[in-house]
Amino acid sequence: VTSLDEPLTASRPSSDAELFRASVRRPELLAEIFDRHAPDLLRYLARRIGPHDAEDLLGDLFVVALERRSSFDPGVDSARPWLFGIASNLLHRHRRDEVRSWRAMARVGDDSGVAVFDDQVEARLDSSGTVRGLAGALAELSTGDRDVLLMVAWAELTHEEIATALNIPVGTVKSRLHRARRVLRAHLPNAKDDE
Amino acid sequence: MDELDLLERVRADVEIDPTALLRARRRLLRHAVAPAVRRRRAARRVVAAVAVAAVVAALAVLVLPGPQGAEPAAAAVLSRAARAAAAEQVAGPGEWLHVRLETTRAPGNVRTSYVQERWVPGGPTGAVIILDGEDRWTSAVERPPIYRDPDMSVDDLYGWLRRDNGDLRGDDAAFERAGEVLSDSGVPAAFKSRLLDAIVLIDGVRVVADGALFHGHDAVVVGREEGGFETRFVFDDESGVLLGFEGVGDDPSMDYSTLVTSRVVDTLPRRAVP
Repeated sequence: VTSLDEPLTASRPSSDAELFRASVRRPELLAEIFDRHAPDLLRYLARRIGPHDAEDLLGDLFVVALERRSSFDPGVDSARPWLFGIASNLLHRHRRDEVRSWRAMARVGDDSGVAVFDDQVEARLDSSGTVRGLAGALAELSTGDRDVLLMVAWAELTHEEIATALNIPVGTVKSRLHRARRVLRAHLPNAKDDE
Repeated sequence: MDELDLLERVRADVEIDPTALLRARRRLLRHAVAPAVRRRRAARRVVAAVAVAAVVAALAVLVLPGPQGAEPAAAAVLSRAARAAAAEQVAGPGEWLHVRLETTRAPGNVRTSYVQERWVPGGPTGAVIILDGEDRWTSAVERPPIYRDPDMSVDDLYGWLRRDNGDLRGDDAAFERAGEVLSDSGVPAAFKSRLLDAIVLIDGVRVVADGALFHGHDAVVVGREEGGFETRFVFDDESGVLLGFEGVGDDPSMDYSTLVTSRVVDTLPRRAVP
């Protein structure tokens, strides 16, 4: 139904919360929320589980968001943390594949078939086994710790936003991040655990 | 450079297929617009005996001045539909409820029709398989606890329906939510039955057409207008089974008609298997 992909008109709600509310009557407004957040979400998902599965998961994610939009806090303007929270839940289905890919990368410093890398950047990074160390650490982390760590490093969410996304206290976010960073450091070449 | 700086560079240049976003966007909009009774759009398929329904409704108002809830003619249709829903076949463990939704719209005066199929697993767990055009995906079965609350009365259910729903309030929200639940392929038959009874309590629900023809079925149509739009539920004239949904609005390009057919199967067809 191609007409649904047409650009939206100028007179429309501005915040994500307003768009969700208005989308009950005008479902096409959901495209606005998609356009705002989908590129970052897709990149985040692709870095975690590879581009192919990421595309499938992105579609799932927004269908879930559509079905649960009534649970979105109307007092929150941006849906970004909420959407990343849904992404985390969906990623748990791929937890084994993700861990497997990190382990493979830790062994050989490559995860072809999972993601495509900038070889030059990674070659520099890996000159001393850095990538392998990071991958090994990511494979070792608990799901919760990994979620927090990658939301900080790749999604650039604040601690408060991550707490909202994962429905956990901010203190838990900080303790998970603290723990995850310690594991990362321990896996880096010439590691010096400064805890 | 600390460990977070290093981590930021890992997979930083992962390649994204630019068409992936377009596909996901299209899928979202199809899902949002198509089977959703919750959006009010115009119906164009129903050949209505509107005049007859109007007379019935007018007489009902004279007989029962100032009642709350659906008009009596609509209440009778809904009550029969509730009984039919209670007798629906239910998928057991190892079985699937196959639901086929055929939606017709006419954006830009060009008639467009497409089909979405869903396979809902019997039992409490599993994933719904959804086939939408060339897209196939799965969605975890998430059934709200209220679906399995045998003690919830129809009055309580009516109260649940009336919770705020987007910018809708009261009975507007209730009818909207009722449509959302009815279009949920995973809703248990017993809950659907009570839901139809609860719709009887919603003001403004009326028989839009009796003796209508809906995708080849003799049908009776119940609807409710709000804000210039009317959402409609279509029932088999003989059995009372829910046949589908329609909407009527000021913008004909947003009209839609969705025929829903379902049956229990014990195997998945090849097109549903990844």
